Amino acid sequence: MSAPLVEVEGLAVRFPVHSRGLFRRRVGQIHAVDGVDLRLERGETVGLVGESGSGKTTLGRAILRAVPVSEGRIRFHLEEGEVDVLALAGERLRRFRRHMQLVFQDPYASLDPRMTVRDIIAEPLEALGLAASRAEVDERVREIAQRCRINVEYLRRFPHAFSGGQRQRIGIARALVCNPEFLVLDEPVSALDVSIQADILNLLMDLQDSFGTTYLFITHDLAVVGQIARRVAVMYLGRIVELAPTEELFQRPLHPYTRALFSAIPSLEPGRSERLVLAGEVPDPAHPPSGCRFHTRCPFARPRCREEPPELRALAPDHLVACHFAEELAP
Amino acid sequence: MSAAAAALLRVRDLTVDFRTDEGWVRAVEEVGFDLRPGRTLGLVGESGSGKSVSTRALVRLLPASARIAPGSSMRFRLRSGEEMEIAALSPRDRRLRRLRGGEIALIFQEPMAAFSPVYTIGHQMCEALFAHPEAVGGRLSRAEARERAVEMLARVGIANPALRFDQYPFELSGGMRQRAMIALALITRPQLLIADEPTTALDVTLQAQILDLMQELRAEFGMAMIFITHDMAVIAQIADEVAVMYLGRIVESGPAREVLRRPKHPYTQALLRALPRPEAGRRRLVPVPGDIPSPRERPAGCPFHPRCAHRLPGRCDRALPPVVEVGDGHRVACVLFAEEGGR
Ligand SMILES: Nc1ncnc2c1ncn2[C@@H]1O[C@H](COP(=O)(O)OP(=O)(O)OP(=O)(O)O)[C@@H](O)[C@H]1O
Ligand SMILES: Nc1ncnc2c1ncn2[C@@H]1O[C@H](COP(=O)(O)OP(=O)(O)O)[C@@H](O)[C@H]1O
Ligand code: SF4
Ligand code: SF4
Ligand SMILES: [Mg+2]
Ligand SMILES: [Mg+2]
Repeated sequence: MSAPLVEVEGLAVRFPVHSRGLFRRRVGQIHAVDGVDLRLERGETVGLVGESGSGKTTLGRAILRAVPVSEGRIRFHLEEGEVDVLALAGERLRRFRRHMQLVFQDPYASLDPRMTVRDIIAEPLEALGLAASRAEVDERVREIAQRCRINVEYLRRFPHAFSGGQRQRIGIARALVCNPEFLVLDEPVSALDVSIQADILNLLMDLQDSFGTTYLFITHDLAVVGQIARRVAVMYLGRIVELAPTEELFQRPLHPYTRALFSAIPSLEPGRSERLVLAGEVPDPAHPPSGCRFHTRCPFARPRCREEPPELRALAPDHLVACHFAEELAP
Repeated sequence: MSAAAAALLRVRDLTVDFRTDEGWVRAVEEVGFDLRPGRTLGLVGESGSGKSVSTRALVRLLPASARIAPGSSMRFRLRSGEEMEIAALSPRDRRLRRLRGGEIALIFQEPMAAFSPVYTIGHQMCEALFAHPEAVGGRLSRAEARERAVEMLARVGIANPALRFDQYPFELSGGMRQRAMIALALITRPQLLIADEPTTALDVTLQAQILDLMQELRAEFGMAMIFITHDMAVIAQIADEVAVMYLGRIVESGPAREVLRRPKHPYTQALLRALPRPEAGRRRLVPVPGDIPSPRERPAGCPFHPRCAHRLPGRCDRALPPVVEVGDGHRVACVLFAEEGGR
């Protein structure tokens, strides 16, 4: 296996839950991310899928040090050496941010309407003090704008004049302007029309081919992930329940939850065959079920599932599954 | 009885304009379709194509800046058998109140839009029953209304409905709220349900649950449905008929199966090609070229011509293409078919 760029071990993020009322007492904890191990290789795209509330955004933001991490390790293997990201603080953390950036879902809310497109794209460069002069910033902004297929004539305009697809290109240019090795893309096409989605996905693939950037691509759309990811991680209630190369996962999903996600996709051919319809919703993460967290909704649950949490283990060389009965249940 | 005579709703030449700082802007233009009782029409198109405006016109829920153009017609057959021309009503007409929420119900993408935050779910369901005695077989007592509402909450799959009856919308989870909104819409047994992207913001798992539920209820109550979405795959699951909208116009319509299998209009074809398929394998997708145009800059001729790979210069940019019937009930507005008389 080639050297990973990012290595995450035993990562946990817990949010306190407070009581309502005047004296906001701490009454519990949400285990938003609970013991996640993940390696991202240089230049690859790992897709992160799961239902709303499963912890995708929190995991992505934790790696970027945008939410406080409760436990675990995050290491970056850069050309200049290994960096323990959780050990960084203050100025060193601020300077490290050039290596990792975020692209948001909502291209409408994420761009400051009072800034020109040029200033929006330039902001990370200027905030991180990465350019010597204004001329240098301008040049870099023009260069990245062109790579992101933004008309450079538009750089002096304000974002409200642009369509969703164009705004998302601006968000991507801004994330890439300081040449980061690692990008977290949080639902970058979910708010866009299908006709525009394809264009942004193509752009992201082209940019990765030119710059070798590593992507963590968060989405709840399995069709999109199939298109863009080399490997896919499936999350449920803060844990990764399955991790496999994309083709392998699509041909042979092993975890009952993954299979349920696949059978829920509406198909262009009406009247689909054997469906595994999930009842109910994701349980409250402040009170996660015991044992296998999926047991309350799993059609195959047995007594052992309530008691013992399943390990994430390899059923095939690159195919990890957290289910006690994965071998038996495999279709 | 001919198909037209059996229609629950007949829309013809529906045109809606908005007054803006830059003058009148046309959001919906000459839209027409028939809907028979118990059938589902899927309305599909990119954002801004006029799906919401055209259906809001049907219940006259448009903002004051909107105008339904003269010549527009929306004929609806009431339960009493009487035909009502919705386009002719004044926005303050009392008959509209009977129509809305009684004969025609609406559900939205955001369930909070359907509920008032200050009343309990149950209170709002009972109010709907009291407001539409004609739809529910007479005036009900409080106890009767409560019983019906709890029954309906149970019917849409809400566990512990008697408890939920007394809760406020914000106390429910996202999925439950979606179900409660459907319960509120259906409590008066409407003849027509307009669903405006009710599953767009949901996870695939919840979307599958809600689509299944809506199919079941539609069959059970025998109501007709207009289902708005921008997802062709959702259309395949739920619609009998489909109408594809582009810049306020219907560019292709017909039986859903037929249109999805053999799309004729270049825009419908492009939309289907752009859809990511749930298959693995990194490959380039085929986007619809260009951007979604604004209705402020409506192109002359065929509205799709600036983005169309098949456009005929000198034709498509001059005159509106005629609507051609290319199969049983399958209609396309494109000159390519006028040439050959269908293919
Ligand atoms: N700042 C916070 N304070 C408290 N709880 C939080 C906070 N951020 C997230 N959570 C909780 O952590 C859990 C995981 O949330 P997260 O946003 O990571 O999910 P997600 O998988 O990205 O969901 P979605 O698909 O809806 O974006 C949820 O239960 C959420 O309510
Ligand atoms: N209140 C309004 N004022 C001006 N224009 C409007 C208003 N509401 C909708 N429109 C315009 O009408 C067109 C159709 O909108 P809509 O029906 O909401 O599209 P869809 O539901 O297909 O996304 C859009 O161009 C939109 O900008
Ligand atoms: S461990 Fe048990 S409950 Fe969990 S996924 Fe496997 S069979 Fe289902
Ligand atoms: S009328 Fe012309 S521009 Fe319009 S869809 Fe047909 S070929 Fe394309
Ligand atoms: Mg999220
Ligand atoms: Mg709409």
